[in-house]
Amino acid sequence: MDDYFGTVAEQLMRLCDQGAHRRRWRRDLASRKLWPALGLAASVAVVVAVVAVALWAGGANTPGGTTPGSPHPTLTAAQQKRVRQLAYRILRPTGPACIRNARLSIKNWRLSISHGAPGHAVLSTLGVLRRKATAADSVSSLASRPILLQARGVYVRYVRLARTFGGAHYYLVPAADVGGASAGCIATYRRRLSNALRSIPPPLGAAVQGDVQRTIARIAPHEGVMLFSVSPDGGTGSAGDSIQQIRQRGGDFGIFGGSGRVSQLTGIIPDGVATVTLSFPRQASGSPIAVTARPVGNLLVVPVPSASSRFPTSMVWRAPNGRLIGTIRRFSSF
Amino acid sequence: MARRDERERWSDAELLAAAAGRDGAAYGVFYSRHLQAVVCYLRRQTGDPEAAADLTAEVFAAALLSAHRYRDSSESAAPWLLGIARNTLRMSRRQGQIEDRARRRLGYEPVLLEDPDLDRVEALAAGGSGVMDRMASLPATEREAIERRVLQERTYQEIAAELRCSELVVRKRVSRGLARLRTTWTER
Repeated sequence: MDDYFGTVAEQLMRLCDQGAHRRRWRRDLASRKLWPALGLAASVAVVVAVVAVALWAGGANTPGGTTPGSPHPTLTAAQQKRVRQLAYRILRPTGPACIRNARLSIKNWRLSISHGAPGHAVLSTLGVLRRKATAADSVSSLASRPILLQARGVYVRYVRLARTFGGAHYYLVPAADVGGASAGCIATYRRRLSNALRSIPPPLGAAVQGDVQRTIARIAPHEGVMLFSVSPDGGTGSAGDSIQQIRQRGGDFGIFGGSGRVSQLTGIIPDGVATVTLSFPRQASGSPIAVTARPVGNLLVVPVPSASSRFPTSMVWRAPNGRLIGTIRRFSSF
Repeated sequence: MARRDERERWSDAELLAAAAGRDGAAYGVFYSRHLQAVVCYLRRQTGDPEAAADLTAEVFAAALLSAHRYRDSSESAAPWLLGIARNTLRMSRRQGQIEDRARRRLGYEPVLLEDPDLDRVEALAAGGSGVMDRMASLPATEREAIERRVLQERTYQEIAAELRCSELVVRKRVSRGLARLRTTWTER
């Protein structure tokens, strides 16, 4: 295995074989047996760091083959690796602003609301949000649902009751930011980039800057929509999906418990989709099941037996005239 | 020395006992068995695939350090492992940086995370066969009780007040739901 998780596994297995997990570092440290070794290690580390910096500075100009088709085709493979390392270091999610603890604290949680309106992309994708608000759209329990704690700037005037099904009321809840890194975290990354660029040679600096900016664009706060239900037994809610995701492959797919032996698969579907055909995996006995349903109020609700509630393997979207809009194989579940 | 395919049939308790005795391959099987559940949990809790990947490595490093202490007689060590994940997450939040104490203790070398790895995190998190999907198959009352008690770490008293029922009822729902999850895990 050569991916991240494979490398992690291999390293842990090797350390396990070596018995690294059986050493008593803390006890040794407490008894000061390790202090001389640590002093020596620190001295060696300083020397290694100096040598590494010198090697790196020279390596930036080392001739070598370029890699066409990569993000930075004019750089050598070694330089590209270095660019990735530098970008990774800048984008490490460390620091208070990058850990979502403040907003994940239940006790201090307050619903972050906005009295503004969602952007054109949101409103043009989900027709239910464009209709005039009615008394039924008011959901007072929203403010006490910590399930929405990741969302910022919930557009309270645009919360809409999408559908009532099986005794549960399903609401679409648009918000200015439904996930990704916080603005503070993005600022931390930008500050680190700015500091790092002072010491990185220009050819590598431009590449690092490009990589970091692309990642920031991907993880910056973005508008989206969450699904939220109220039912006699409490209800539940979702983490939300970006509007781009909802357009491309629907949003917030999940299986709610429902009542008795029946659960409900729910998901947000964009305008223009008249029917959705879901293919469920083959059961231990029997053949694969395909279910076709119509979204109402941009919401798909399909009853599925609790005992065998599994995610569908694919979803086919069709227009009102039967035209195939798309086949989605990777679901956006919450 | 047992072959890897034999280890696939071992229980989690057996794998951890072997890992405590320096059987790296046993720990490899344990890691593969629970990787998705841990990634899925951490991805949802952090909202960040990079943090989830980094924390996953820390969780499995911490589990390796604690392997000799695992005494649970139940079939799956998933609840134990998710407990470590929760503590690791809590420590990271408290310190404002990704916890790496276990990895430092092991002498683990940092592994570079690249874009395809982030896709792998997302794929694992959205794999559809993790804890959350098993949670989704629980009755709503039990799922809600477990979410609030185990994932959100709220007190029984708070949950009972919110759900307008007695603490005893909440405790029963949590207990039944966890038992049901354990059963579905065993049937996997």
